[in-house]
Amino acid sequence: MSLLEVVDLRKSYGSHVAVDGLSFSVEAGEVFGLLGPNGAGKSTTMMMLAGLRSADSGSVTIGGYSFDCGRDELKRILGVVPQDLAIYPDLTARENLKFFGRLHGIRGAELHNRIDRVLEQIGLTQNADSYGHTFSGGMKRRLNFGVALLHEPRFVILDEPTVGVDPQSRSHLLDCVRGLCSEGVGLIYASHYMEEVEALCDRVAIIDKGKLLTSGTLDQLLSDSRADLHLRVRGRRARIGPRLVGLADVEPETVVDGQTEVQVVMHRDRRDSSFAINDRLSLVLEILKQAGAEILSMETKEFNLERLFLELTGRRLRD
Amino acid sequence: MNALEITRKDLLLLFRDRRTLSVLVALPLAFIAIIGSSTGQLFSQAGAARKIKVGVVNAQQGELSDRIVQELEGISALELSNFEDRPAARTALAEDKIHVLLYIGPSYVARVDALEVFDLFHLQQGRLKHKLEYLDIAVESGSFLANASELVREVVFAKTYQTFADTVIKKDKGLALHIKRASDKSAPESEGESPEFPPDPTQSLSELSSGAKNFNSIVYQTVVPGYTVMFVFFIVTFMARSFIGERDLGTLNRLQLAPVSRPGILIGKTIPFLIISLVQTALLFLAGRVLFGMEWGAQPLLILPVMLCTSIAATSLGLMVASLVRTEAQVSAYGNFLVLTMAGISGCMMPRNWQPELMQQLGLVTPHSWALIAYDQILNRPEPEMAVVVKCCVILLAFALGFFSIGWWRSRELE
Repeated sequence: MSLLEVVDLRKSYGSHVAVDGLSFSVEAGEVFGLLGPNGAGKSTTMMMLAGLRSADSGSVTIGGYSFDCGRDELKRILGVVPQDLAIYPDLTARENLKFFGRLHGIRGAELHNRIDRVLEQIGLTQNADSYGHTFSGGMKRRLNFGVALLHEPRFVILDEPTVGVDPQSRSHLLDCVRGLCSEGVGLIYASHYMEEVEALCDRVAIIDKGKLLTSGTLDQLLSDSRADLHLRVRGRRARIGPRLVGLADVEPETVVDGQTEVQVVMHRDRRDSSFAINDRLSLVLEILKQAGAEILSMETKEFNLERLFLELTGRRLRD
Repeated sequence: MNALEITRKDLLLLFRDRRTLSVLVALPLAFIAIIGSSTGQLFSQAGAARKIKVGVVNAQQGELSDRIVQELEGISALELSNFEDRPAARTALAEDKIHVLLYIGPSYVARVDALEVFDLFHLQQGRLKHKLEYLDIAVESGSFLANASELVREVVFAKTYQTFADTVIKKDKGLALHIKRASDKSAPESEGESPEFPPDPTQSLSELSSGAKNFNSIVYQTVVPGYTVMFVFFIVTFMARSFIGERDLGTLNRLQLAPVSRPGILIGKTIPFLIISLVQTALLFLAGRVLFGMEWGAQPLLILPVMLCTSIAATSLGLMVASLVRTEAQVSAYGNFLVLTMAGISGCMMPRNWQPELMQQLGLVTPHSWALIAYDQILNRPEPEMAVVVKCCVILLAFALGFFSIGWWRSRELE
């Protein structure tokens, strides 16, 4: 049985369906990335996983416990790093950790040792007795992270934990995530930073409008997609475009230094054989030559997670 | 157990928040001191500020008229000053330098000489029918005592009567001897020639005015509980702010993520304010006693259950308001409006006894009123009626239950 099991999770606010039948699972020692544009249902999903919102239907079990059955046990094995800071600015770092540790029933020497360990882990040992309000954004984020780890959870929910932090703190936090993963902790990681997700996550799910659009390992997701060839050409679209129908797309004209240019894009499926693309490329180059178009540059644009995300969720702005 | 952790954390945060502490303790203390000062009841001012200033114009300047002045000087609540003539005294009265003008006219002795014993005992039929007017004495009250001018005239007449009564009685040798014998029988150890005369009609006033401590305390017996109750309920806004702060900081979610139940969170966050409220009340009552000479009544221990029940009602109201408001602005608007309106209706700002009957009845819809009724019973009655105190405590707890239930219901999102 997986550490986290989400089955057919649904949640509506009035007529608006926020989460529409999501199902996925996360194993121990795995980082599962959850991606989605604003309003995709990501935060609602995270809230339901954390038990802060109740689902209309479906189930969430973590380590065999659910919020309906074994709520307190579940809370003891669950750590949550919320998107917004959730620390007391008028308590010191140590007092924050102590308070939340005691809430989880940790006392005495064990609490003391764990606080020291977490402070070391998040790099705040030197600032342990400074008030939260004196911390930089990065230090606050690290403390926010540390509070979720004090009770040594088996599963951690990270909701955009690196928003607005400096590169050093971000790198430190990502190292912490990797460290947890190596200790066998299961993690779900929601972020808008694709490079973080690519760097950390074993598997990724992309959701939008409450529905799961795709999920799998990064290799699976990206191997199914394309690496496009872009040719920058001097010439008129009206002259080139009709001749390349079926071979490549010609994007709208741009004027650079008084010269008219177009981008000729040859879409290439990763599974295409190199012979197929070579044949097509030869044909395109021949046609361009005949049309009197001058090739200025040529580059391959790899289809990364961000491009996949935009292709699946669209380029329309989200509020 | 976890609730106590929340309590401990909130107490720590409260003690670090000096502004809140000062508003909860220093501000009501300052209010009480200001009200006390305004009424002349603070520290050493007590004697001077309470006195009614009487300007005396003695146009007669004889032994008999001097006795009136001496009698009035014997009243500690009065401060006498002499004026050469009536116009000068009237100017002082107009400028509020004196509160009362006493004019003893040049015919005073002649008028007293004309009195018979009959006149002393038949005030409605004899020459004294017109009281001060007959005696050529005039009393004028300034704005300070404008509403009590008749009372002032009665006091002056009573005191004057006391000074001339023996002179008139001595005219009747038989009656004087009879009174002397009766006096010797009832008080054999008494000395001196003066016979006893009819009871001093101003005795009760004299007792009241000479009982400076009692009078002094009256203001604080009312002001301290009034403002204490008002400020105890100010805890409502601080509680609401604490809950909103917890929500805004995101730590309310963290509390819900920890193995703490909804009752645990609510109780944990309520207890610190209950403790603060009790400490606040105790400090204010202590300050009232030490600084202002306020008395705690015949059974001071009864204050404790009233304090507790009032604080429970206040913190429950705080929980209810915290569950209803969403922003700091709402706390400022609704919280302060609620607290000040309830204080105003209930008689915290102005003694309940001064309020018209309708307002007194209306005030009973607030817990404040019941707290004030209980405190009035304990602090101002020689024998506090236990049934009234118990009834007030029960009603305060009923208010608390109602407020808590609404707060509980509204905070169901915590589960």
